[in-house]
Amino acid sequence: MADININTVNKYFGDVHVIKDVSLDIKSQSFTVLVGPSGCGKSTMLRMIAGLEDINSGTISIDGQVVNDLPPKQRNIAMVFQSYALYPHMTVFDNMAFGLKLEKRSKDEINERVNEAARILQIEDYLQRKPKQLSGGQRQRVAIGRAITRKPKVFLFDEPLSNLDAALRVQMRVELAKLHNELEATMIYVTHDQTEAMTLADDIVVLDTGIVSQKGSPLELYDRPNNMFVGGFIGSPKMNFISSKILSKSSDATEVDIMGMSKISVSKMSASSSEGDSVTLGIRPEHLVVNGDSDGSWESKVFVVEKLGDVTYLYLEKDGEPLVAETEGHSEIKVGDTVKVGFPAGRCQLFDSSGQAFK
Amino acid sequence: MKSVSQLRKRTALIFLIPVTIVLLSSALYPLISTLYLSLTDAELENFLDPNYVGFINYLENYEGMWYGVLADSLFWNSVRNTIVFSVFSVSLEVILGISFALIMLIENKLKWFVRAAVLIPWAIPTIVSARMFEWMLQDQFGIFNYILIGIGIIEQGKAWTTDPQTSMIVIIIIDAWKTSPFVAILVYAGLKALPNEVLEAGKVDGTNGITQFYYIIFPLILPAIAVAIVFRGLDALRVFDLIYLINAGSKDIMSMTVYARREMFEYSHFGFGAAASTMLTLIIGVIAVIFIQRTRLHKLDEME
Repeated sequence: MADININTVNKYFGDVHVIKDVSLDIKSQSFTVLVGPSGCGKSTMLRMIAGLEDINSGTISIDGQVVNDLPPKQRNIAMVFQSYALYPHMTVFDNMAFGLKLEKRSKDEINERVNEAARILQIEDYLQRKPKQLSGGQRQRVAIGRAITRKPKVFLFDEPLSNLDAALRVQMRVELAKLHNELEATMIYVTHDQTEAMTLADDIVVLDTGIVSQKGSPLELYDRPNNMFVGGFIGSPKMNFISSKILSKSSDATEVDIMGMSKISVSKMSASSSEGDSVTLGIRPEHLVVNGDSDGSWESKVFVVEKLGDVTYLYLEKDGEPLVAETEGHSEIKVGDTVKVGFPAGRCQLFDSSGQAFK
Repeated sequence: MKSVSQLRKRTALIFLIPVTIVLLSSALYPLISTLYLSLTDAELENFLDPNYVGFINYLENYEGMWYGVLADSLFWNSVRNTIVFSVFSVSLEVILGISFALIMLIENKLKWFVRAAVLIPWAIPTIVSARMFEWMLQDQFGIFNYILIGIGIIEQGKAWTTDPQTSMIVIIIIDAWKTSPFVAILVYAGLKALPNEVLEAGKVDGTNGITQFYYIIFPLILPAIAVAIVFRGLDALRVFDLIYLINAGSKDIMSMTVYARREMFEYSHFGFGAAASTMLTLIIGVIAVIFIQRTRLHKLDEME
């Protein structure tokens, strides 16, 4: 068991405040993904948990023990780095055995553990090679193997797949998910790739300029983003944001207009809002209904058509407001056509002028 | 029509001409003329028109006695001195150089001062450092003897630079003081190029300062150290200025170069001196080849 508790942690680099009062509880054996754009502090967060960065205030505890002042090796963690960070002068075997050697484990135990990890990761054939002789994917496996052999309570991954090509990334993603089930260890994973976050995570933590923007399961974040930042960050292509106005409020719904073309009643509320306020309407491309009936609608010319085979994306624009809509793969719609786009009320999100979501 | 690769080759050849001319005139010509000189009886009187004498400057048996450079015990003494000097001074320089480099790596407000302080001995001309040390080590007025007498280690001043027991040690220490910065710079560059994440991976794996240096840093800067050893080793084998300045006549510290110079310019035995120079070149060449082979320096790329 290794719960991780992060309590009002702050971090400064000189005058720059990079982590601002972050508190997080990470459950034992969960797969938590820290996600956010570059510079949001997610790597710093991970490095503070690892013990590679000092903490300016607050506490981090692993398994109930405050680890603020413990060096990495006493935290019972292992880390996989973006650049793999293999020891270039050591063979794959020695790379994986290094931590155990420093712990002065017996030769037999080292052999057994390294071979076990090599078997899980299917790198048994490369054990005597040097990292330089391996491909990127193989190096990444070795880096993961090095983490596994020490049987840590917590695995930390710092953008481990971002140096791999797209196909390999998908493959390694699946293997990481399998590995998590097999090892039953707590894993914290940093990425800027929201697909990795969605596919791997039990819990996603979205960081924005050093603040936890939202924490929740992937579908919670997808369906009910707390704010515009999370709404825009999770999902690809991005959620559409359209400026709108509150037309009226009832006890359980807010009626807003869509570009003056139609109106829609969304069953979400915000106590602080009132009639006439500017709001932002958010809706994902995959939820828009192209040329079909829906609660509210919009008509626009098609400027770009992207055919991906399984789906087609239509890029629309009206009065400076862009909109991306998804439709079926073999769509007949061409550039220059006018399409009618329907907004299903149940799929719409509303955000107030400060970006906070209506509940 | 010429292909692109042919044109490229021709351009390359044109660019190679100047350096080839410089190399031929500055390295190959003196080498060949020294080799030729060593096979003649050239002295001051017949320098422009010497007689070819074969290998007698190297070795000759005349009425049961051996003559020539290779039969001169003073020559072999100078070879021994040179090798002793090289081995000990380069070893000391590597140890000090690595230490300085590690000190230079420490990030604090004094780092610019430390870096400058480390580099200064390297910037001082040899003549200045030689005279400086000579004065400090002087038997009557030198500060070194003054301190030693003051704290009661010795009773009266010692002539460190001329005493047969200490002169070689003194030379080695001066050379180490002077050239450790060179090793320090090379090693410092090697240290600066270490991938940070690899060191961090080591920390996560449980290294402390000592195990980190022994298992990770040292193996990774080994190529830089090997380069430093080759440069310093070749320099040390050719040592001349320091030894000539400290004590040109002493056979206790006489190096091969000092020996060759003396034969040529003091005794005007140009042929004989040229033979000594040729031997010097050969010995350095052989040592260099063995060392480069042993350290696999020519395969540096594959070492990673």
